[in-house]
Amino acid sequence: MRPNLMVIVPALNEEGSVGAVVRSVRAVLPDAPVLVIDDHSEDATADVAEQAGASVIRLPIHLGLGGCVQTGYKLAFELGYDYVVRVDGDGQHEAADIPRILNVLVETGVEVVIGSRFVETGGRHTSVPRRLGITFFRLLLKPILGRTIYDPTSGFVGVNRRALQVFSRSFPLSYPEIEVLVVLQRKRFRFMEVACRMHPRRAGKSTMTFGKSFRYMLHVLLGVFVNVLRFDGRGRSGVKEAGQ
Amino acid sequence: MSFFSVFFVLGAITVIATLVSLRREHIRTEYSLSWLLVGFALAILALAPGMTAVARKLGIDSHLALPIAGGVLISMLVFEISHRVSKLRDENVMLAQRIAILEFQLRQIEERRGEPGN
Repeated sequence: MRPNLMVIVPALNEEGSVGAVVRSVRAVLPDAPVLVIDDHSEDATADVAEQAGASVIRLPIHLGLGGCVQTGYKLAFELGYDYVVRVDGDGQHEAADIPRILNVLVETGVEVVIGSRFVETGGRHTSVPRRLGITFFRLLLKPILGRTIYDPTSGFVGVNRRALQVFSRSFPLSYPEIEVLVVLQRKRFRFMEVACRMHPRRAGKSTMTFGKSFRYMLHVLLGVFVNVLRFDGRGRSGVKEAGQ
Repeated sequence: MSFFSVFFVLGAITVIATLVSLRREHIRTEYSLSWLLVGFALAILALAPGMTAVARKLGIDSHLALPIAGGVLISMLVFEISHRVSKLRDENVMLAQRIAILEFQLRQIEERRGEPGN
């Protein structure tokens, strides 16, 4: 039986790339619905996505990445999907890798699978500042999670229905990727990393300026700290190493 | 005007401004209560005869006691406002998500029926 999968694409002002992202996903998985969540873009992101064949949720106000992704999770959960894979709207993720993430989700039963640019490929297209940030968070998370997560900022993520249920109720609203890892640990969810290819963004500019990057670091540090304070001490045994 | 009467006037202005805002419906009753309490507390502390003695006992300059007390009161108020803003933000996000999902589902129903909205 074919897995009941939805692909979600959070997007903010991505008219230059979102169409190609939707088409590439549809080419790889013609039967899977593609849902673009438009975070109140000022450009034609929603129209371009619809023309490319995606269903589009248009947020009435800008919610930020976490709120945007959670909207997709909520809808997917309500519609009864068993698996959701998130792909970014800037074209950095390779649609051909979605089946790999899905297969690991289905075959291993882990709740979350993270597409990692570092597990095999070494992250060729990653800028030096981002690489430094990733290394910092990798070192920070290691003692908390009891294992190394090679690409903790990756937005290429697949979840199963159990994780979907939790995330549709509670999800970090601003910069979710790293905080979610600590939440997963607390919930005793198992997660794995699989090797994926990453590309430079297809069009447009990243919204991450130097000031925003600094705020991102502080915000994530605080989020991790708060989630560690909530840690109930049961997590580590539930974590599954990549490749197991 | 003495140092203490400045704080009495500040407290009185806070109370009056809050009452005027309430009357003009610029502020809701539940949010005005904290401001009224701060205003009254400032005014009462400024008039309290034992304020200087208490400050001396705590080893604080009597001229610093009122600004410190006022600062603490305002900080508590700002903290409470941050609480409320956070709660409102969460509710706002939830509502925006619900509206977006309902609109999406409505559009799908209309498309299925072949009755696009006006």
